[in-house]
Amino acid sequence: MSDVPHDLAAVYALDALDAAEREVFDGHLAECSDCRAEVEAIRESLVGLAPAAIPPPALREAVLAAVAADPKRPAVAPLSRHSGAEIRSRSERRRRRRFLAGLAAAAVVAGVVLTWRPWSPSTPPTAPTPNAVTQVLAAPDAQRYPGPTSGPVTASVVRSPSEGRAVLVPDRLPEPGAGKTYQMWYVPPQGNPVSAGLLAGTAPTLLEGSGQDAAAVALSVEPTGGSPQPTTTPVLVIPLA
Amino acid sequence: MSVMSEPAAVLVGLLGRSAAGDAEAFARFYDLTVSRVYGLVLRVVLDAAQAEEVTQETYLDAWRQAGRFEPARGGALAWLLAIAHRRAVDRVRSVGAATRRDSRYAVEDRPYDVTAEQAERSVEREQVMRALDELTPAQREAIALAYFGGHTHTEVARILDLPVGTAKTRIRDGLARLREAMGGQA
Repeated sequence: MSDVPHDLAAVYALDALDAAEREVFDGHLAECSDCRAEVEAIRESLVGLAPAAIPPPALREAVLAAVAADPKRPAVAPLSRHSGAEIRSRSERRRRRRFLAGLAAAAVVAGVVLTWRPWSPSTPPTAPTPNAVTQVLAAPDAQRYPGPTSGPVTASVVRSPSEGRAVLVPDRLPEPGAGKTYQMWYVPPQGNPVSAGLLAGTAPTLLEGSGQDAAAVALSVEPTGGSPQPTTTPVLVIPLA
Repeated sequence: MSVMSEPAAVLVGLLGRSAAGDAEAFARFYDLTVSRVYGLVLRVVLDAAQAEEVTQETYLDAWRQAGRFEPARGGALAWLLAIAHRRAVDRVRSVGAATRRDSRYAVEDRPYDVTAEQAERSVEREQVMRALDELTPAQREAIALAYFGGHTHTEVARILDLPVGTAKTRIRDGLARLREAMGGQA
């Protein structure tokens, strides 16, 4: 079976290959976009075959409890280049391309003019304050703004008007790379982004400043220690609207 | 096809919010999809307790992998059911052929029961019924053994007393017809 025939795509989509064959075909899928498309199309047509049955109501609670207790977020891959399965790095490159292409659209949605040119100098980053993070997340008026989920980096922002602060909650956050760090920015409706501090690992991090009038929060990869102004295209823009 | 486009868009949105950690969105996603997931899993594993376990595993997978879902590559329900089906099949195979129920079960039992819930999706159901009518009985049998019976294509060949290549061809041609009849995603 070293030479994988394309006609196994249908059998694969039915999960009718044995474990060894499946593994071989997985490898083939990583390199064959035709087969990937065929598998997706077959899966789409199989949807109608799935019968419906009502599960016991207790299952809902069990599932949601398991999800709530699951600290594990989707596995992450380095931004630059993936070392694992090829299919993943390919799809991530694809996502990244789409994501970058979608940046302009995100900016329009947020009513933001993204001019990543002259930046206002900002205060140097400081350590995160765990208590403040909790306060914001637990605030009765806390509101969550999910970011786009199609890119390699995903996160949401939780903002509390009463606390006058916001927290960035990372979801998927690949290693920024050696000598690099993620820096958060408040993006005002007009004018230059303002540094909101560095991201502390993968933990929810308080943004510096109130960002009261900010239209979006952006994240960019900067040299360790941060930059007074972004030096790279943002990897994530989360509209606060 | 446009039949499911509206709920499909809703599911994609909910999955996106789930990827951002929105548990409420995920609960809604569960509510909108669980009857199909549980129904499919139950059909494959044929045991309510195991179907519940596999369903739970499926949703935990979905929660963890939500960020990897790519709307451009297919619908959210197809994505979810693919996770569920693979887990169900793996469960059946790990249990072992010895304890498996009669492999003809999936063939003789109609693979497209109409439940109250699915009657609501009458447009989609009709399309599926028509699509299945397009298949030859031999193709339907081979696909049902694999899809609902959880059998490998080699096992399908053995059960039907066919050369492996013939079983594979029946599955492939049957799925091609099904795909065409369902609106041709190509």
